[in-house]
Order: sequence, then C-alpha cells, then structure tokens
Amino acid sequence: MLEVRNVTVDFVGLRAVDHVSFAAEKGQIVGLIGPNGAGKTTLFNVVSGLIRPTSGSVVFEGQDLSRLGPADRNRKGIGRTFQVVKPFGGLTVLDNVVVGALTRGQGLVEARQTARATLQRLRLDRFADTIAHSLPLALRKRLEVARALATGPKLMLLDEMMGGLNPTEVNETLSLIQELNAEGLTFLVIEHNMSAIMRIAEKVLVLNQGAVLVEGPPAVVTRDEQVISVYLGEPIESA
Amino acid sequence: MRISDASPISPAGARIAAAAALVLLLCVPLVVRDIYRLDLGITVLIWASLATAWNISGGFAGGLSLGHAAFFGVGAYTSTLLFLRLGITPWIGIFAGAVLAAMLGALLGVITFRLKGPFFVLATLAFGIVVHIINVNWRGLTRGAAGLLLPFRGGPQNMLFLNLWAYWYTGLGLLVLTVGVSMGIERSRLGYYLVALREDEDAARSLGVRVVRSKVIAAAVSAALAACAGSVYAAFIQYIDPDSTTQFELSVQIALVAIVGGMGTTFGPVLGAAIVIPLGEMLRARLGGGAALVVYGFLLMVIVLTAPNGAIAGVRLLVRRLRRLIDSRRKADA
Repeated sequence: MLEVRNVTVDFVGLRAVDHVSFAAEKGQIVGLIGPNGAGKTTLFNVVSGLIRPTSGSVVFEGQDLSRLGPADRNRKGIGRTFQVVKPFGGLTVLDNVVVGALTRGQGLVEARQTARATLQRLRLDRFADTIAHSLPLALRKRLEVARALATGPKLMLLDEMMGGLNPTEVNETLSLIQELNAEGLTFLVIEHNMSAIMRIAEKVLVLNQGAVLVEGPPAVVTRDEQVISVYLGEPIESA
Repeated sequence: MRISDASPISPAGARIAAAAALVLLLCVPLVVRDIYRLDLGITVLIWASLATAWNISGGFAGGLSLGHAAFFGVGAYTSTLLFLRLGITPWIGIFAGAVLAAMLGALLGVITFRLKGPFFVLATLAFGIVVHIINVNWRGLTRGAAGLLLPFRGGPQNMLFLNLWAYWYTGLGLLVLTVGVSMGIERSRLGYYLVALREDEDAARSLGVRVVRSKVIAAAVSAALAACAGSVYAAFIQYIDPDSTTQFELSVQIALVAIVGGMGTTFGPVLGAAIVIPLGEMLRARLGGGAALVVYGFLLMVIVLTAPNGAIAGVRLLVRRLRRLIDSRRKADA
C-alpha cells in the first residue's frame, strides 16, 4: 500500500534521512522507532508531503506521490497526527473535526454528523463545544486522531501518540488502534513507548542517524544486538 | 452551544441583532435630517463595507493586508473612468471594477500565499504603493494628482443623486452586500478552510485543505468587494484623486477599522467603522489637524489595548453576562 523508495532528506549540513526504503502492506501496523533525531518525524513529513525529499520517492497504492502536496495526499487517503499537537486552537473541538470531514467532500450538515460520530468514537463528545486550546494535552492528542480520522484515511500516520499518557490512556489508545486496524485501516506508528509498540506492531523499523538499522517483527528486532546498543540499551522507562 | 470568539460561526443571536440593526438603519434617513450627520453616516457605511471586505482575507484567512486601498482605488477609478470616457453608468462600472480588482487580488494571492507574517504584510504594502505610484504617474488615464471630477449629469441612473438619503440607501445596499457575502463565507466550507489555515497551516494542509485555492478565492472576493466600496465612494464624493483612494494611509485605516472592531468576525469590522470613523471625524471637528491626530492615535491605542480581540469580543462578553444574569434571575423566580 505504501512504499518509501530510497528516500534521502538533506537539511543544511545535515542528512536527516539517509536512503530509507520500506513498505507497509494494507492492513498492517508498522512501528517506527529510534533515538531522538533519528529522522522519524522527518520521514513522516516526507510521506505526508510537508517536506520534499532531496531524492527518492513515495508511492501510495501504486501511484507516485512526488508531485502531490499534503492536501492532495490527504485526499488520496493519507491521514496524520503531529507529535507537537497542532489544534486549531480558537475553534471548538467539534469545528476542528468538521474541517477534516469537509475536505472529503461532505456538505456542512453531513460533515457535522461525521464529526460528532468521530468524537463519540474517541470519547471526545463531551468536549464538542470546548475551545480546542483549553483541552489538556492527552485530549488534544486524541483530537489530532479524531480530526485525521474524519478525513476518511486509508493509511494513518501516528506521531508519538503515547507520550505523556498514563497507562490507562495508553491501553485505551492501543485498543482504539487495533479496533480501527481490524476495520481495515493501515497504520504507521512512531513511538517511544516500546512495550506499547511491541504489543500492536506487525513489523518494526528501527531508524538510527537517518538510516534503517533493522527491520523485522518486534520479537526479532528487540533481540537484535545493534538495536540494543543504540536504542534499547538506554533505560526505556525514562523515555 | 458555547462559541469561541474566533469561531467561524457567529452566534445565532448575532444574526437576529443584525436583522434588527438593518431595520433601524433603513429608518435613519426618516429620522436624521441633519445633513452633516447623514453625510458622516454614509461615510461610516462605506468604511464598514470596506473593512468587511478586508476582513475576508485579512481576518478569516489571517493575511494582514496593508495594500487594500489599491482595490478600493481600482473600483473608484474603473467605474468613474468608464462613466467619464464611455458614458457607462457606474451601476455597471461597479461590476467592471469588482472583476478587475478580483483578478488583481487573485494575482496578488498567487504571488503571496506562501509568505508568512511580516513578509506577507510587506508584500501587500509594496503592492499598494506600486498601485499608488502608477495611479499618480499614469496621467493619460487617471490625470494623476489632478484627480477626476464627476460632472453631475444624469442622476439616479448614473448613481448620482440630489438627495443624501439616496446615497444612504446605496451605502446600505453596499453594506448588505459585503456583510451578506461575509456571512455566507463564514458559514461555508471556504470559511472553515480559511480559519483552519489561519490557525495552523500545516495541520490544515495535512487534513486536505488546499492552501492556494482557498487563499486566492478569499483574496479575489475581498478585493472585489473593496472595489465595490470604491465605486460607491466615487459616486458619493464625486471627486477622486490618488490621495483619497490609493494612498498608503488609507490601507492602514482599513486594517485598523477591522482590527478595532474585531478581525476574523463578521460583524466586528462593521462595529469598528461605527467607532473609528465618527471618532476621527469628531476629533477633527473639535481639535483640528495635528492635535486631532495625536488624540486619535492615543485613543486607538487605548481601544486596542483594552480590547485586544476587538470591540465585538467585548460585546459578546457583555451579551453572555447579561444572559447569565437573566438566567439566574429566572431561576431565582422559579
């Protein structure tokens, strides 16, 4: 479904992503892990179209996306959240989600219905009329997901959803991801919470200094010595 | 339902209040017989329309333009020149001006949509100055600083009236048009997209909002409406020159009126015009020239500091408190 082909991103004096290739099949949950600065979020920005890669390409459902901007990629079916949440702060939670529903071509009335249903699904419906910037962080993260879901994506990119969540919230988020996945939504998930990613991911990609270090099923990756030395060697609890 | 002061949807109460205000405004010429006041009133109507037009790109989309006098000028000159040179009535000329301004606005939108913050402001400012310079120097077309005088001939069919009340209703028609378009956008898909882009462009794009299309449409509509205000202004004053139509100070004043009233809201710019224009006029009449400007500037600072979200936010707060008070009274009674 998604193919990242030999993508390299150079910032001034820094290679953020270094010849990265991988694929995600329809219905998969793919985990993306690696130390800070490994290039995970940059890779997300390349896939969602916010950054043009220096070289390489992104193919989605057989189509090369290189010429498409973020809006058109979303309309093709790629939804994403941001690690540093970006709510439309002055709008109500409902209106935030309405924006997502509108871009898939729904009229205002229908978009409001979709938005309400999405909020209900994420148990945000109580906050429908709250101004987005006054929500606590955990809920703002959920709002990111709600907004992206309302666009009706086929592939969802989640950028560190679990950071700052308590164990109950982490479990809730995991079961939501699995529920949506069971309905056919494909996931690409950046996560620092290792135990969380191991529970849901079918395949894990470890990035280090912009390059893919290891790729494989979670059980294999966690036993890999390279991975242990660059990443897991750090105390996970503090991450 | 609680609604944010920045929400793209005005509270339902605002529309009822607007309808009531419209009825009152329709009655004004029947009550106000004083020529000076009616004249001032018409100026307020034109400024309210102009600020409302500005607000569509400046407020909803968040692109603070300091070049809108250019569109006002294009409207004023197009309808006036068509009338003087070809004898085409300003009632038609106003549309020609709007179309021309829309194209210019769209062009500016295409050039500037990528620019953020001060860079966008500077680009619009430069655009306004360029148009002003062209206006001053293209004497063959605009007669430059000498300006254009509209000879009084023809009457109503040429938007030239003997009675002030007719201008009042023309101005009111203009205001209904601009506010109507603004309300339409506020409650539309485009309105949501513009506000989303203003709040966070990357997030909006990632949700499928097309930046160029949304911003260019907003810029074109905003420019077209500003041009309509220009045509009505020219017919009202019957004399236009670069200083009264395309000057930089005018662009600043347009933005100022909208900001004082509350940018990003439909009724804020109208309220802003109702405050700022009479205030400036009063001060000029009482204090004259320099002193008036000093006090004017000072008062504007006070207004902006005490109501950073515009006067409309204060009104909304007041209404909310009144409602709460009435509710609690009712509960106490029951």
